[in-house]
Amino acid sequence: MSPQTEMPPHRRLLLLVLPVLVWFAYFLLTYAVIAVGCAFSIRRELFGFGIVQWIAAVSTIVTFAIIAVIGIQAFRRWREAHNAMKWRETTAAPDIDRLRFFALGTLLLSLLSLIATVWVGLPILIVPPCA
Amino acid sequence: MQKAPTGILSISSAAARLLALLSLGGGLSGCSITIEGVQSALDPRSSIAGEISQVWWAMFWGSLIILALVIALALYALKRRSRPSRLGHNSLIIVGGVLLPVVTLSALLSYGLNIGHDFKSGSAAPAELTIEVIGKRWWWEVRYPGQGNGPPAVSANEIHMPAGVPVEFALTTTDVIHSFWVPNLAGKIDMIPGKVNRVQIQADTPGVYRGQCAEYCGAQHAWMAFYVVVHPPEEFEAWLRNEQAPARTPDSTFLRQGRESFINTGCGACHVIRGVEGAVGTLGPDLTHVSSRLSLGAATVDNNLGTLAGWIADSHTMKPGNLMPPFAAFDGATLRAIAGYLESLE
Amino acid sequence: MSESDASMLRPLAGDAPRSPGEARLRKAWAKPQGIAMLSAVNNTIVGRYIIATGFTFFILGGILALLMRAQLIVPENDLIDFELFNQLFTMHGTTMMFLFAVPIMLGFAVYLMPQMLGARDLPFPRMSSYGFWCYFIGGVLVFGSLFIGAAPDGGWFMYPPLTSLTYSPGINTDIWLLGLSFVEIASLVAATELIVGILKTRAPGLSINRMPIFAWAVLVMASMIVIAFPPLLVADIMLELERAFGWSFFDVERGGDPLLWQHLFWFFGHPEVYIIFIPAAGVVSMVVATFARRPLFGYTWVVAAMIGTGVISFALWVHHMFATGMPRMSLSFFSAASMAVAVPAGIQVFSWLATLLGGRPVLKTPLLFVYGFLFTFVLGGLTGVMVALVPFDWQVHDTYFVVAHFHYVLFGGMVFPLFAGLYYWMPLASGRLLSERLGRWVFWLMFLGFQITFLPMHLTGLLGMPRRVYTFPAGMGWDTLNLISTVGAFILAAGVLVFIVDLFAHFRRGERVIHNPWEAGTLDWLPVAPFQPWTTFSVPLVHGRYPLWDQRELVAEVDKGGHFLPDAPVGRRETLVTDMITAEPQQVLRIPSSSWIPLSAAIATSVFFVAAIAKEYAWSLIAAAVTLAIFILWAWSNARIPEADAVDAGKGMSLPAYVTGIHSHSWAGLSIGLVVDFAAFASLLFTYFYLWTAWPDSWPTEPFTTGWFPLVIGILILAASSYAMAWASRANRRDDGRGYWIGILAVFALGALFMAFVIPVFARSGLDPTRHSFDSTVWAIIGYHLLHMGVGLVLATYTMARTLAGHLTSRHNTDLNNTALFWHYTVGIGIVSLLVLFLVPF
Repeated sequence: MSPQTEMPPHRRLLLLVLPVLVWFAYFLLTYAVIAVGCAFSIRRELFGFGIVQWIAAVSTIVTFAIIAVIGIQAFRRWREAHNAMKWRETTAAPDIDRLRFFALGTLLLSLLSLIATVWVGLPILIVPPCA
Repeated sequence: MQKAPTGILSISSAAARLLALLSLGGGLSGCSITIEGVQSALDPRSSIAGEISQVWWAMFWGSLIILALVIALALYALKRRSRPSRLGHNSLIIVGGVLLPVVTLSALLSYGLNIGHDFKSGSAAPAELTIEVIGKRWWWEVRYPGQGNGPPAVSANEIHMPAGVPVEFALTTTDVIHSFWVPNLAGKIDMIPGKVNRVQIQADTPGVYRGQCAEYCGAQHAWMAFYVVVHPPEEFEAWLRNEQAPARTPDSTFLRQGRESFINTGCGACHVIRGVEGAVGTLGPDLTHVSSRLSLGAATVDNNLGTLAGWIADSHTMKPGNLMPPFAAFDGATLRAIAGYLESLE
Repeated sequence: MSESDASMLRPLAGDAPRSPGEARLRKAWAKPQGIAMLSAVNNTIVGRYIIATGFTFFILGGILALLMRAQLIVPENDLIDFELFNQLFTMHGTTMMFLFAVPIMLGFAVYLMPQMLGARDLPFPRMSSYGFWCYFIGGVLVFGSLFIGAAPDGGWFMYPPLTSLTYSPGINTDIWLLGLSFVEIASLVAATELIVGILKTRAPGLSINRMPIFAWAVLVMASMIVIAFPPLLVADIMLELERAFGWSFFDVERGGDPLLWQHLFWFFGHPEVYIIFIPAAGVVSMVVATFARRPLFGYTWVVAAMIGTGVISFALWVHHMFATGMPRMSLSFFSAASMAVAVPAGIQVFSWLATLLGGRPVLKTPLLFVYGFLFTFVLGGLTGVMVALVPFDWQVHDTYFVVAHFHYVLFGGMVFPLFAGLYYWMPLASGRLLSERLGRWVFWLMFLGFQITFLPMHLTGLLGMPRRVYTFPAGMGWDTLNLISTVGAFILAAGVLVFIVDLFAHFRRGERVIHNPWEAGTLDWLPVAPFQPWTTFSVPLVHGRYPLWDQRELVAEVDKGGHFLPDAPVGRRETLVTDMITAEPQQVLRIPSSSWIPLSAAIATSVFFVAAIAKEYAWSLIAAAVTLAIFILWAWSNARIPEADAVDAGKGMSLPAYVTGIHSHSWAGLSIGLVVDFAAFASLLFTYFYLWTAWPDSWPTEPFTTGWFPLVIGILILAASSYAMAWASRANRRDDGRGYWIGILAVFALGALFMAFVIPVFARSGLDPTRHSFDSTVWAIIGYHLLHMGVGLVLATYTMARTLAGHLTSRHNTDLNNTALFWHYTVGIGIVSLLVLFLVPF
C-alpha cells in the first residue's frame, strides 16, 4: 500500500475527481461534435448511421469503459483499505483511513459518472441529430 | 376580445381553479372550464400542448409523493427524538439518495426524450401552410402567403390559422430577442436576430387563444401579446382571401378625406396600406385590414373607433413607451377622419 | 456551555495575558482602532465586514422585491411605471446574485474557515481586504445607480441585442458590465485565497479526510468560482468593447451572434446557482450534525456528492437555452446532465435525513431553519427536474413557474441555511446568543411568508403569466394569485424585520456565551471567550473529524497554550502551513498585518472602472498605472527574508519560516490565479470557434495573415524566452550571478523582440475590429496575449530590482519562481494563440 500513501498531494486530489473530469471532457467533446456536425451539415453515413452519431456513440462507449476501469480500481483499493481498517480505530491508522476515504470518493464519483454517461448517451440512440 | 378577454374568469373562479388544482389536480387537465383567450398551459388545445400537460401531471404527482416521503422522514426524526431510529443508517442514503433518483429519473428521461418531437418543423405530417411571424418592439408582424406567387399578405398582432392541419411558423426578429408563446397550443420558441426558428403547430379546435412575448424585450414587454384565431379550414380560406386583397377603396367623402389626411400627415411613412399610394412605411404594422383585427397595440386594447382615435392621438396613455409618436396636435376633424377611414378597412 | 459551566475552564475576569507569549500574540494581532479599522486585514474583521455588507444588500434587494410585489398586487396597477419596474427586477436579481448571495457565502467562509481549520488567519490577509473593498465600492456604485435613475434595466442576464448600444443607449448597461466586473474581482480574490487556505493552512492532524464538511463545501465553491467567473468577465468586457468601441461579438450584422452571450453567461450562470447552494448545504451539514448530536452519516458520500455537483453543474448551461431552437439532441444532453445533478443532491438530502433519524435532534432555531430548508429545497429540486425536461421547459421557461422554481432553490437552498448559520455562529462573532423566542417568530414568518409568496407562482406560471412584466391584464386568472403572492412577500419581510430587531437587541441583551453553546464537535467552537482575532491561544493537534467530541482535554490544553504557536516571538502574525493531504506541519508562515495598501489599491481600481463607465479613458489609464504601482509596492513590502532558517513552532517542533518552489503558498496562489486566467483565455478561444461555426459562410477561409514565416518566428522567440527564463532560474539556484543576469536580461530582450515583431505583422494585416467579428476576435486574442507579455516584462523588471536590492538570493527565490511561472504560462498561451490564429480556419 505504500506507493499509494506516498502519492504526491496534487495527484491524489486529481485522482479523486478524475472520473467526473473524464465525463465532463466527454460531454464537451460530444456536444462540440454535434454542434460542428450540424453547423456544417455533415451528413455522411456509415452503415446507415450518421457519422456524427457514430462519433458520439463510440465516445460514449469509450468513456464508459475508462470510468469503469477507474471505478473498479478504486473499488479494489477501497476493499483493501476497508479490510485493513476492520477492528481498528481510525486514529490508530490514519493513513489507511485516508486511503479508504480517497478510494471510496473515487468509487462514488465513478458510479455517478457512469450513470451520467448512460443518461447522456441515451439521446444519441433516441433523438435524431440536428432536428 | 379585449384587454380582459372575458369577464367570466372572476376572482372566484380563479380560486376555484386553484382549489381544483390542489385537490383534484388531474381532473383539470382533461376537462377544464372552456374560456377562450386565457393563456393556460393546463388547458391544451393541440397534441403537443396535450403531451406537455400530461407529463406535467405525471411529474406533479410523482413529486408530491417524493416530497411527502422526505418530509415524513424528517418529522419522524423529531418524533423519535429520545431514541435513534433504525432508519438512521448508511443504507438510507443508498436507497433514498441513489436508487430512488436513478430509477425515477431514468424513467422520466426516456419518456421525456420521446415526446415533443411534433413541435419540430417537418417532423410529423409536412405543413400545408407557413406563416412568418416577426417580433418587433413591441408588436408582431405576421406574414401569410400571398396569392399565387405574389407578395405575402402582411398583417399584425393576430394569427389566423386553420384547425386540424399542421401549420409551420417561421419565427424571427428584426430588433431584439423575443419569444413566441401560445400556451394553449404549444411551448415557446425564441425569435433571435439572424436566425429563423421553425416550429409546427396543429390546433385541434377552432377558437381564439392568447399568446404573449415570453422573452424580456425592453420597455413594453408586458403588453406585447397577440391573439390566435383558429378557424374551421374553409372559413380560414375565406379569411385569407380577404387578407390577401388590397385595402377597400373608401366609398364616401368622409372616408376619402380620412385617407388623404392619413397620407398628408405622414402616417404612410410608417404604415403600409396595400393599394394606397404613399402608405408604404414598414416601421409600424401593416394597416390594410386593420379594422378586422380584434385588438390594437398588440392585444393591449379593444379595437373600435374610439380606441383607434385615442391610439392615434396619444398611444402612450394606453401603452407608454411604445415607439409610435403621439399625434395630439391633430385637430378633432382630422383625427375623426383618419380613425373613421381606418375603421372602414375591414 | 453557559457562563457558570465555563468558569471552570478559566476565569473571565480582567483577561490579563497569562504568559509573555500571549502578550506578544495580543500585540501582533492587535485590532486597529478608530478610523484605522478600515485598514484591518484579519479574517475575523474582514469576514464581518463582508457579511454585514452582504446582509445589507439582502435587505436592499428585498426592498426592491417588495416594490415589485406592491406594483403587481392588482392588475393594471400604475404605482410604478415600466421604466422603474424594469430597473427594479434587473437590480433585484443583480443585487441578490452578485452583491448578496455569493459575497455573503464567501464572507462566511472568510470568517469561519481559519477557525474551523485551526489556522490563525487566511494566507493572504491583505488580499481579503482588497477583495472586500472592491466588493464594497463596486456594490455601492452598482446599487447607487438606482438613485440617479440610471440603474441597469436589461434583466439580470443582460441579453444582447437588447443591451447593445442601439437598444440601450444609456449608461445603465455600462454600469452593470463594468461595475459588476469590478465586484467579480472580489469573488475571484476570495476564492483564490480560500483554496490555498483550505489546502495548506489546516491544523496539524486535520488531514483532508477529516476536514469539516463546510470546508469541503467552500473548497468546491471556490474552485467553481475560479472556473465560472472568468467567462462572465470576458463576456462583460466583450459587450463593453462592442458598446464603447464598436467592436463586434454579438451583432449579427457583422458576424456576431447574440447566442454567444447566452453561452458565456450561462456557462457562468448555472454553476453560479451551485456556487451559492454548495456552501449553504455545507452549513446544513454542520448544523445537522451538531443538533442531531452525532457525526454526519456518509461523510465521504457527501464530499463526493459536492464534488460531483460542482463538476456536473458546468454541463448544464444550455438548460437555460432550451427555447432558442438548438438541435434537439444537443438539448437532450443538457437535459440528461440536469437529471444527473439531481443524484448528488439526493445523496446529501438522505445523508441529513439519516443523521437526524440516527441521532437525538434538538430543535433549536438553527435546526428549525434547516427543516424549512429541507422542505423548500426539496420542492425546488423537484421542480428543477421538471424544467430539465425539454418539452415541459418550453411551456414554463420565462414564466412565473420558473420564478417560483428558482426562488425555492435559491431562497430555500441558500437563505434558510444562511439564517441557520447566522443563528448558529452569531455567538462566535458577538459573544452572545440570538433569542430563541424571537428566532421562532423569525422562522415561521419567513417560512410561511415564503410559501405564501412563491407556492402560488407555480400556478401563475402554468396559467401563462410571463416573468418580467410590469403589469398584467385583469381577468387572465392571475389576479388572486398575484394578490396572495404580494401578501406573502410582506409576511416574509416581517420575518426579516423581526430578525433585524433581534440582531440589534442581542448585542446588549443576548445571553453571553463563554464556550461552545451548542456542544458542537468541530474546531470553530474551540475558542473560549473573550474571542480573539488569532482564534485560539495555541493551534491544536487533532485526531479526528469532531475533535471537540473525540478529544476531551483539547479545549483546556489549547487554551493553556499547550499546542502549536502559543507565542509571537518576533512580533509578527504567524500561522502553520501543513501538507495538503496529511496536514503534517511544514512551515511557519508569516502573514502581514493591518495596512492601508489594500484600501488604496481598491480605490485606485475603482477609479479605473468609474472612469471607464464615464468613457474618460485617459483617467482609466492613469488609474491602471497607479493601481499597478500600488501592487508593486504591496508585493515589495510583503516578502521579507526571515531572521532564521528554522523557528520554534511549539510542542518542541522547529519549522522553516521560508519555503520556496511548489510548496510556497504564493506559488499556490499564483497557480490558481493562472487557472482563472486560463479560463478567460479559453473563453476567448471558445468565442473564436463558436462564431466560426455560427457563420461558416461569412467567416474568412484564410487566416488573418498568411504564410508559415511569422508563425514559426513568433513561436521560436517565445520558446527561446522560456528557455532563457529556465536558464536564469537554474543559474540563480546555483548562485551563479552572471548566468542569472544573462538569462533574465535575455528574457527581457526576447519578450520585447516578440512584441516588436508581432505588432507590425498584426498592424499590416488590415484587421479592423469594427468590421467583422473575425477581426474583433483576432484582436481580442492577440491583445490578451500582448497584455500578458507586458505584465511579464514588468515582473521581470521587478525580479531584477529585487535582486539588486538583495531581497532575492539563491535560496530566497520566491519572486523569481513566481515570475518564471507566469512567464512560462504566458509563452504557453502565446503559442496556442499563434497556432489557432494561423492554422484555423485553414
